[in-house]
Amino acid sequence: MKENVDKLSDIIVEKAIRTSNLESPSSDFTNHIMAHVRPKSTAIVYRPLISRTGWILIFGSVIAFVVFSYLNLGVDTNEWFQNIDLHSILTNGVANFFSKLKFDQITSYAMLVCGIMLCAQIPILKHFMDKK
Amino acid sequence: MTTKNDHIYIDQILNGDAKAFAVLVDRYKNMVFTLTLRMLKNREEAEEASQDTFLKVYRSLETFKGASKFSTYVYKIAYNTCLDRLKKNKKYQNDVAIDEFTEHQIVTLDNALNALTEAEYQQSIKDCIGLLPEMDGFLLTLYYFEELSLEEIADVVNLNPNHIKVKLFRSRKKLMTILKERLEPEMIAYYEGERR
Repeated sequence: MKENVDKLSDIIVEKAIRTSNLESPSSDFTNHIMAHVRPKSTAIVYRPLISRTGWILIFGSVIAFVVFSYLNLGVDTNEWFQNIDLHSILTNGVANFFSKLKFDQITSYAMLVCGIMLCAQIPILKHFMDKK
Repeated sequence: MTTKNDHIYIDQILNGDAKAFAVLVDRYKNMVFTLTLRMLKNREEAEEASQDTFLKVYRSLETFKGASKFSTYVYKIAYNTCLDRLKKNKKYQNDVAIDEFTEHQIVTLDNALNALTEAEYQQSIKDCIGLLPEMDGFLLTLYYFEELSLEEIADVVNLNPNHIKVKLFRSRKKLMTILKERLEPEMIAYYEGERR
C-alpha cells in the first residue's frame, strides 16, 4: 500500500518536473559574461628577477660611483678606517672568544647528526618541491 | 550534449580561445539559471548568481580534471554560489510540512492536474516548485529533469548518496503537499466526488 503511494507520488512529481520548462535568463546573458572573460595565456611568462627600473638604478649608481671616484682622485692619509686594528681583532679577539667555548661529546655528536640531517633534507625537499 | 564534446571546447579555452566559452555558457545557462532561481527565488538574484557561476567556472577551468561530467562541475559551483548568497542574505524559506497521502488522494490529485490546460498546468507546477524550500527544488530538478544519479547529485551538493535519497523522498512529499494545497479545493472535491 505504502509502496504504491510512493510509486504514484514518484510518477506525478516526475511528470510535474519534466513538464516544467527550464527558465531562461535575459537575452544578453552570454554577452555579459563574455565581456568579463579574457583569453587564458598558454605560455608561461617569465618575469626577469631584476626589472628594467632596477637595472637603470644599478647602472646609474655605478656610473655615479665611477664619476665620483674620478672627481675625487688622490690618497687621503687621514682616513678613519686606518685607525681600526683589524689584525689584532682577528688574531686575538675572535680566537680568544671561541677558545672559551667548550662542548661536551654528546653535544658535539648531536650537532653533527643535526648537520647531517639538514644536508639530507635539502635534496629531499628539493625533489618534493620539483614534483609539486 | 556529451561530456566528450564539452572537453573539445574546454581544450580550446585552455589554449587561449576565450570565445569557445560562449558555447558552454549557451549550453548550460538555462539549466544553471533554473537551478539558481529555484534556490534563490528571485530572478535578478538568480541571474547574478548564474553569471558569478560561469565566471567562477571560467577562472577555475584549469582545475577541472575531467573526473566527473562538466555539467556536474558547473552545477556544483552554482550550488555553492547560491549557498554563499543565501548565507550572506540570511534568507531561508520556511520549511513545508509533509502530509501523508493515501492512494485515493494521489489519484484524485493526478486527475485534477490532468484536467488543467497545458498553460495552467505549467503555471501551477512552476508556482508550486517556487514554494518549495531552497534545496528541494534544486534536488528535484537535478534528479527528474537532468536525470543525474544519486551519486552525481551527492557530488554536486557534497552529501552522502543515501542522504540524497532521503532528501529526495521528503522533497517529493513536500511538492505533493503544496500541489494539494494550491490546486483549487473545489476541483479536488469535484474529482473526489466523481470517483465515488
